[in-house]
Amino acid sequence: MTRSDNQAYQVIDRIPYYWDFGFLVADRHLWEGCKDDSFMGWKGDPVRIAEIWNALALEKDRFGDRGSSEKEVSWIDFFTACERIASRHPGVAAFDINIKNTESMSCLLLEVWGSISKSLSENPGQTSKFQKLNERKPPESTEWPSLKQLFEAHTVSLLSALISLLHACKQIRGTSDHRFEEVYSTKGFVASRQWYSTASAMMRLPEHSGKELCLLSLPGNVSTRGDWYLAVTAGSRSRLLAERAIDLMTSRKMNVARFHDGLGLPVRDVLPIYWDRLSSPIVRHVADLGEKQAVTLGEIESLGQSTGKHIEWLWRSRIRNYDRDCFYLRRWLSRVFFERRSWFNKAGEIPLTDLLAFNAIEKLEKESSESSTNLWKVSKKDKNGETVEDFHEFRQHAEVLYNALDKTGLERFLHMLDIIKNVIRGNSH
Amino acid sequence: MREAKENVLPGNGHASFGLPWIDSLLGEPNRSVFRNAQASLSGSKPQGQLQTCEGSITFLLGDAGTHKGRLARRFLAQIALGKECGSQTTDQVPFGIGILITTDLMDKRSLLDRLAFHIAQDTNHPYFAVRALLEQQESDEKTERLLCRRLSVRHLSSAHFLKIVECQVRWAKMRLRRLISGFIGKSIDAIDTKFFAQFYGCIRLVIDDWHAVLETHPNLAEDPLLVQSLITFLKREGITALLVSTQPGQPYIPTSETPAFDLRKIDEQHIYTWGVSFYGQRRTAITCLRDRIGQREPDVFELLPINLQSTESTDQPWISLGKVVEKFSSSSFSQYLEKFYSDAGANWPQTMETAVREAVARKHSSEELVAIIKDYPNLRRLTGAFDIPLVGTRDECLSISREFGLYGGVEIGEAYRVPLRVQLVEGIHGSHEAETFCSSYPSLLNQTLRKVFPSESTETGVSFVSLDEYDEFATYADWLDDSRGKETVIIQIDEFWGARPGTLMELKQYWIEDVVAQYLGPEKDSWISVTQNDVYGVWHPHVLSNQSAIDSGKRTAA
Repeated sequence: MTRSDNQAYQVIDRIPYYWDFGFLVADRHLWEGCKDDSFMGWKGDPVRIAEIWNALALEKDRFGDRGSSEKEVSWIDFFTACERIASRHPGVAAFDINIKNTESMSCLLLEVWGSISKSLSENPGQTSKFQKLNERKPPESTEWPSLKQLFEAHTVSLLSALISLLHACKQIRGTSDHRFEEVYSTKGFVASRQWYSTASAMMRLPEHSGKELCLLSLPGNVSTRGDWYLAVTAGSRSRLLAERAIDLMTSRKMNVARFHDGLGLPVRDVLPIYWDRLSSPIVRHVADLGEKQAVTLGEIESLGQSTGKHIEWLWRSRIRNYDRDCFYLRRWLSRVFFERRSWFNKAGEIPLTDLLAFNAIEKLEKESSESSTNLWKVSKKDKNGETVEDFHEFRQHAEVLYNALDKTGLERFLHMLDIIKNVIRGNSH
Repeated sequence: MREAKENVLPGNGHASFGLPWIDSLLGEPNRSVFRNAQASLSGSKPQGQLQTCEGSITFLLGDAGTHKGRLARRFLAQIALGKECGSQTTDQVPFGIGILITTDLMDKRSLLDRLAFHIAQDTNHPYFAVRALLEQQESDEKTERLLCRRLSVRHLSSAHFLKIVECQVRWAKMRLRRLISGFIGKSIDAIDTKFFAQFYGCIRLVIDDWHAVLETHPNLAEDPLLVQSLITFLKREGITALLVSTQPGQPYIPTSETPAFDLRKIDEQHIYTWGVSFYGQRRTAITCLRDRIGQREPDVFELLPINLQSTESTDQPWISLGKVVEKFSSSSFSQYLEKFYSDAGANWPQTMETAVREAVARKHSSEELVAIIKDYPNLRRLTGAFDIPLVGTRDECLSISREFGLYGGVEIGEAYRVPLRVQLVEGIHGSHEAETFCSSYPSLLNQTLRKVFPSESTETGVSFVSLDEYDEFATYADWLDDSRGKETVIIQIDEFWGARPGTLMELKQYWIEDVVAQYLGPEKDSWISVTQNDVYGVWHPHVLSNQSAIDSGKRTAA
């Protein structure tokens, strides 16, 4: 976006304050201990844990074989790797997230959901609605998907994303007051989804001081932007005062102060040159030197879009009425986590990719044909141009889902889906 | 019954003064370009364009000594700048006509003296050249565009007064028709009167001062229909009129406390100027009310007289001429002035220029420069610069300052600093946990804002909203409307905050203004292109309008 693009905007009522995006913090020590382990990925290929690490980690943090940085890592494989590592370290959570901010859980869901949706072809011949969420410029109103439309268009991937999350975050449970809590205290985590602000705060906590925490890109191909803006209330007495205060608050000095304090990433070129070398409060252990080294602004940026890792930003502002519906989404997610036990059957208690060993596709087809819902079916055109019901594209994926849920769980999921769709639809403000 | 010859309807145009902020408060005039129309009329290739302009009536009401006269002359000066229709286009043909009906001791010559200051201020041309140009224009009947009519102190009936106004307007319309017909290349009779009527808004009439007129001629004050008759007449004529009146200028005086036929009670555009006691200083405030009902409380600005020559090292006009000559080689003004002398049938005295240039280079005294220039009587005669009395005209120029925008209560003469409240989202770095996370930013921001924007209010400063309270905060902010509070509130909003009209202040102008915060040095090469370095596509820094502040590096350092 350039300044001239801004001329196209009819209304500008906010000024960028700082920006942020989702990435991972992982304990390198735990990963290094299992780096040579491998497992069968969800696409059926063998996956080495070191490959996953090297694909996501910053260049300085990679393991010895650094050649596989371009490999795309799926969320399911990543969660599986985390579970594998966690299983070797009792008391360590496979995957963690900052539950103080319930919106972070919504963002994680959108990231996992969006990534899975893009890797599947849920609606053949149609572009994923998540594609629109990457556009910075406001799309035409008709192209602007609402949360409800996302629910309707990408139900299968939503379900798989939820299953994956529930699997990976076993220590997190929803509470009766629609928040999240940790069921049991953990000694740490294999990986944790963070913002720049939360990561920099976390790094300063005493319990993490001795750990070899590293920053990783998100698996999949979606990262949520967590930008913040400054705005002036319309009834403010003095426009001039507001403009001057915003001048001060968005000065280079303040941008640097915010960055150094770990509040957010600077929204302007804070230095004429070498601004990417600014040190953040996030540090890494350099094992060879036995000292700590600050992670630079350029490195943090490279975890996002600029790495060439095909990560796309997800702007929540591009989900129509998200500001209105996010409240309900957060509460709904908490409810989902609250009811997790009623979702899963026995299969749900075992690691994700191990579910692939179950040959349940015939059972799935049978159940699905008996069920009133066509959740698993995909309409496709065959060679003669006739529409046929096809399960093939979701074969392996559906196996995971089916084995994770029993029939009651599936019904429960559909019931929950109805609730959130009705809440969003019925809410006028 | 009066015949409505030109079928001019009551206009809804807007006056313009060439002053930022004030003009924007008054609004953009309704106008359209007549490039095609005049081309079709003349059948020849157009040399420029005419702009139609709707007329309007504006009252300029204010205390004595609040620069109303200067403001009125600036209003008139717009016709010489080709800005009678508001903003100026490059090929627009200036053909506005100005009329001043005044009770002041002012003739046309002294009016030209003063108008030249306003024109020189806007065009950056030397005063003497502008003054000479006006002299040349007004001395020729074919190009004359200004009329100054002084009301004598003798008995004047309301009918006679209206007749005087009518005569001046008739003269102006005749002049305008002649200019337009000359431009189009057709005789006046060959052009439809309705065509001319579209341009009558370009005639600017100033009556200065209405209050003095009524004071001098009590019988006019006793005529209850005079004001209404005058307004009706001006509206029918479709011209742009400014009635200046010296009277209490504070904008919010109850109408019950004003005289029966006070101009305040008439629902037209009002500009108010009044004196403000401002922390021990006497300042002049100005504001505009376009409509008395349904309009939001307008911003108040400061009206500042400025000395056009204050930036020059001497109070003698010929010294400024020397400085101009010094800059000649690189200035486009040389072409302008050469053309001017060429049009006047004279040659630009190269020898004089060389002599002045050398004198300036040798840092000769002012007296030497004067002696050199005075050797060229032709120049002196043409410019008339040496004959202009400077007494009383030094502060003729005006400018607008936004500084009053930082204060409330200016409209009632009791200025106080507007409190600033900043509500940020605390996240995990809020004030409660700042110590834990070694966060210095909250205190840095708080201290900075408190020092830069001090206020008597205890609510000033930065407050943090916890994440738990964020939903409630969003609800509060979402239900805000544009009812004006006593403070300025800046809030931090998230990326997906909905854009609902009326809740947040429009910041487009702030956003798109030229970037000077990137200023590093006087050369263009020193500027950093923000766009190229805007790697995230989110930052568009703001402007500093005050060049001196930029030069000092004050803002840049911030």
